[in-house]
Amino acid sequence: MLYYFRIYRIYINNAVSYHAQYRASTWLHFILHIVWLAMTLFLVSIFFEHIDAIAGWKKEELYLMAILWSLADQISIVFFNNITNLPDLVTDGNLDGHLTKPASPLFTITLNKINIFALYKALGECALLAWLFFHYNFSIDLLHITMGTMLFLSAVIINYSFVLILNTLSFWFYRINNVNEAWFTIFEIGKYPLSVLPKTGRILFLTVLPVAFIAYIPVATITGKFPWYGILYAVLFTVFIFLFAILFWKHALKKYSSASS
Amino acid sequence: MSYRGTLTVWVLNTLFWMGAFPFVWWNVYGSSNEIGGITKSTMLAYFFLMPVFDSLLTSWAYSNIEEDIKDGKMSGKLLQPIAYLGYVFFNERGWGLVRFALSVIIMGIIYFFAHDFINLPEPSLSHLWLIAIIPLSITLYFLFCVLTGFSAFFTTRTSWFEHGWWMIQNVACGYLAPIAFYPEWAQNILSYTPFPLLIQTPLLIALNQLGTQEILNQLGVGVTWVIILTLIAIPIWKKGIKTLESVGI
Repeated sequence: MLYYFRIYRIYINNAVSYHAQYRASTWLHFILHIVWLAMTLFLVSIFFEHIDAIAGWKKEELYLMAILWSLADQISIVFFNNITNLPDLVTDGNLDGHLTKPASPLFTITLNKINIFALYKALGECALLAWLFFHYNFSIDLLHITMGTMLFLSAVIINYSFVLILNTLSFWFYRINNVNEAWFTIFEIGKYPLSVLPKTGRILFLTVLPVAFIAYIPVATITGKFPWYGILYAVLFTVFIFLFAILFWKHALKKYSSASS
Repeated sequence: MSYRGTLTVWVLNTLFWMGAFPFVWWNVYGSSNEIGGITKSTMLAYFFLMPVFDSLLTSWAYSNIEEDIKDGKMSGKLLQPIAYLGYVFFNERGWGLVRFALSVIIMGIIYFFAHDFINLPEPSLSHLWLIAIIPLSITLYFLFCVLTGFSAFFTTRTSWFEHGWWMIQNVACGYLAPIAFYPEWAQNILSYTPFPLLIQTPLLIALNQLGTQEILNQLGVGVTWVIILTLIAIPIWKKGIKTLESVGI
């Protein structure tokens, strides 16, 4: 474990050095992201120009959902975004470089590039989250906040696991780089309450396409809308999908053969 | 068809793209039949037709141009006896037609099962305006993407140009909601910009939501912006070509 921690510390140092060369770009990304987040919240406010609630969800709850969704996305980008390069590594033969290293290839592929600029965005969103809780009168208690935070961390794990499963398909299907774009399109649905969708959609997004776990379940838990058995299901689903992703990855590695490198 | 995996993912992308919006807006409308002059069924039709028009009108030229500049392929393409930007444009149009054909098939299948909820208008004379608006939209989209792609001549960090463009597309073009739902000050500003022409105007014409005067106004704005963007693009292109350096071809 200490060995991997030392490697990860080197990755962090490399990332900081790399992004320090592009300070202007980092700040521009940050400013653009804040503008983008403001536009997302603006869209929510458009919905509420005409109504007081959408499927039982109030404006501040949808704001919370949008911010948590974006925070989950940014945390995934900070730590795990490099896994989306897996299809290119497989088709270009560069995966061999990771397989021959004296460390877990999944570790080196996933974590060797850390996006510092996304970390700034995540911190900005945390500040926005704090403002939201301060400005709006959410009736919440410590238990729900704790459960919601735990489920938010589960959401990041679920997101990583699902992206890993999708990108592992590149061992069989070549040139599926756009699978990550497709997932992001589906991922965007996680900004909205599940209750607006018909039953089929809710089942789909609670199982096969787990976008409901990203923001809907944490926010529903924080606001007391989510039942205890749903929380239990979310925890069990997190464990299941993570284990499945790892086993699927190991199975794919066994099937992998490189033509040359 | 050599890239069946890529094609399958694109089909799924199209299906899920507007997965939530129709339902969100259905809930926003609730028991009301009309908001902001747009009826509930028109709103659903708006999002239903959006993937079809998007597949036809969208340009990804910035991605091709950036890749050619960063990978050094532009030098070889500049030596060919065809205009580079013309090559990019027509290459894209080929892909656009394939995407359009596929999206028509997909949305046709969805319409077959959901026609009770989606109220598409009958063909009318006002649809003839699409003959003028669609080429204008394609040209404007292409020009914006080209200008975004030109950033690669001057910087290796082009991603924030792309993100800025995606943001503008999402908010100002009518992808998230018709601009009629925006505050009045936003509607006034956007009426002088070409962004509504990129997706909203063709959609509203297809849904018989725009009168002749409004369409003519939009055409005037669009043509003006084509001229402005072209006048901006030409010197940037010339400057970019002068600064371009390639090592070996």
